[in-house]
Amino acid sequence: MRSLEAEYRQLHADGLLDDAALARAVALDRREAWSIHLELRLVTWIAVLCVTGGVGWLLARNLDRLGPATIVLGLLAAATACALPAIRARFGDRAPGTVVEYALLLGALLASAALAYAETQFRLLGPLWTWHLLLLAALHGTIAHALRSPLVLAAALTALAGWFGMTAPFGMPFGSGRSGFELGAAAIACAVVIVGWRTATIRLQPAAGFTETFDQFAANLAFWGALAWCVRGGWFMLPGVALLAAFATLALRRGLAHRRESYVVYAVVYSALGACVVLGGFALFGPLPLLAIVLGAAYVLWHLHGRIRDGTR
Amino acid sequence: MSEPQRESAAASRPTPAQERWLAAGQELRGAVPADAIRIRAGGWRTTGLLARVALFALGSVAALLIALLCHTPVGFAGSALPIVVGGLLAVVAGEWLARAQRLHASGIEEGLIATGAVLAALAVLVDGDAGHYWQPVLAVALGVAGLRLLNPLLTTLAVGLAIGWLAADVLAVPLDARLGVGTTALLLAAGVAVLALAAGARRFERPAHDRMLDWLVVALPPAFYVASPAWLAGTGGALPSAAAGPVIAAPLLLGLAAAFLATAWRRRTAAPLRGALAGLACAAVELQRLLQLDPAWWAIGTGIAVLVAAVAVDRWLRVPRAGVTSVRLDAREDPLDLLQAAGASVLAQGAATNDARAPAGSGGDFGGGRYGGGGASGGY
Repeated sequence: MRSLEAEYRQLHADGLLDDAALARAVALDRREAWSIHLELRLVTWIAVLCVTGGVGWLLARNLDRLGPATIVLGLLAAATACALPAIRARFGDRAPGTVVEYALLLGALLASAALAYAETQFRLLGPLWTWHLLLLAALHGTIAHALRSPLVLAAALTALAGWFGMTAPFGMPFGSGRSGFELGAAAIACAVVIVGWRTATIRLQPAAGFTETFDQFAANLAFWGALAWCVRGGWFMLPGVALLAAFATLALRRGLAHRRESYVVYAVVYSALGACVVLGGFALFGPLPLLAIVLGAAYVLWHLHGRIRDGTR
Repeated sequence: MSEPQRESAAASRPTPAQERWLAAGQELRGAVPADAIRIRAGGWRTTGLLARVALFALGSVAALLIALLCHTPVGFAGSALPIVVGGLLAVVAGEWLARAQRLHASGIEEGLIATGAVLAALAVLVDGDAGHYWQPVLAVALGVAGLRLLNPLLTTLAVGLAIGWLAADVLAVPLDARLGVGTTALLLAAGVAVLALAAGARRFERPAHDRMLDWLVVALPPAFYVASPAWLAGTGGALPSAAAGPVIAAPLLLGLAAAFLATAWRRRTAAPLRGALAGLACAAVELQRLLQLDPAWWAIGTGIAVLVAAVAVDRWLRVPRAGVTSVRLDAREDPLDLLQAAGASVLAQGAATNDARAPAGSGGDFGGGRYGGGGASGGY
């Protein structure tokens, strides 16, 4: 069992830690205060995964026995039940808590499954079936804004990215049969839409607290889009490289201004990936330039991390 | 330069006191000037989790490229010597970074040293036609690198490989034949986890030693349960008895979870709690397999039960009880926030594509989606 109390007291004696910070640090160190917030979050995520996985499994096996209408109604009823605690918290003006947030996410996901299943069974959208992911994004987005849930917003942004053709978390364009140029254009277009959504949210609902979620999705989609254009090779590489440089600059500025490590990591790692891809496109050099890029990226990342840690810009 | 300073400058890693200052700096990040910590830590520097992961990846890629560089021009067809040399060069580069730049747990030197050591060990194995011994050789390579770098991931991997080798090649036969394949490995893993838990009651000078024990407690039993034949063959419960996996898995995992939970409550530390949760999850899967419950209903039922329990615990602990609370006590940028968004994204994809599981003909095959009309898989 670790104890750093002596170090905290030394810092306090040297005037580097105020009384309140010392009291808090010592209380945590002595385990007088112990938070299981993280473990609860993890357990709840697994529970939601179990339920959604089980529902998917059940749908696949029992379609004929249960009947489509029963399935859709059952899923919608379950979704409503899951959302009730969050609705009560919202209208009771109370903070919903982590687990209630996840229950709401489960409700949103069950509603997704119900809508997607209804579409396959009843063809509600007819020839416009490909718009169902956009419909889901709108539904999740509405729920997220109404109940101020960043988790449901993440689900909305995932559906939106899916509509644009991105299939993995944070918009990574894996597993698609489309060309690099198409994927890149789709990812960048999706990032632009997300930035627009973010701007509107900041104006219309400034207290929503969604900025970080929007920014993480937009940043990753934009970087993957630019990378996809770099992979394309030839003259298409040029706009990809230019965009990658522009996105890296923006991410760096945000990371350094707000001391957010993640954006600095994105800027450096995606830029290094882009440089390796461009160099690989020429297929002229051996591993030496790649090694130089990797070591250069490590040096830059280390240096920038130091600036974030020291609070310098 | 005084004698102690010279000694410190030549050191390959921080002293326990310096490491404790680094740990204090991590805990108080933002509340204390970085320079104040750096001076007390003897000039040693470290990174945050995200940067460490990224730098570890860059270091590993750099080690691979160094090995490739050595291999390409030399052209020893069929010889692994250049890879050995490349791996050792990567280790030397990592050592130089650690000593000259005074980097500790910063990722880049860890990636170079760990990957370099593994490459060199694998190349020696291949060259010596001793592939059968890959587990103990890799365990030694990772263990040495982990102890040198004080890295809990590497030491846990090393212990895991050593247990796997001992169980499969040295001890396995009688116990596995009687109690199911994988029993020896699971028992060894549980034993090591219990020993690590008991050792964790001690106060260690180095915070890294605490973390190494914590990782063993959390990772070993679930890893060896998941690696058992029963799990690998699926959870349908249709395995022949000879390959049915450890029959003692469920009671063992439940017992471990109970012991870990009691220890977590007594010590107020996260590692036993996480170990208990992992054990309970594995025990739940094992019970489903043993009782041959319908997997879909089991997943739904378990998920709902856990969700209800979590809601109750969350509410009950909103007000601290004996110091334990469900409220977050730390408002810093947390890599887990990123994971949470990514996790929600993964769940959302699963739910949105549940329709893809519908049998052919039930909804019609719409063909692949096109840009502008959604990139759905078309697998309705």
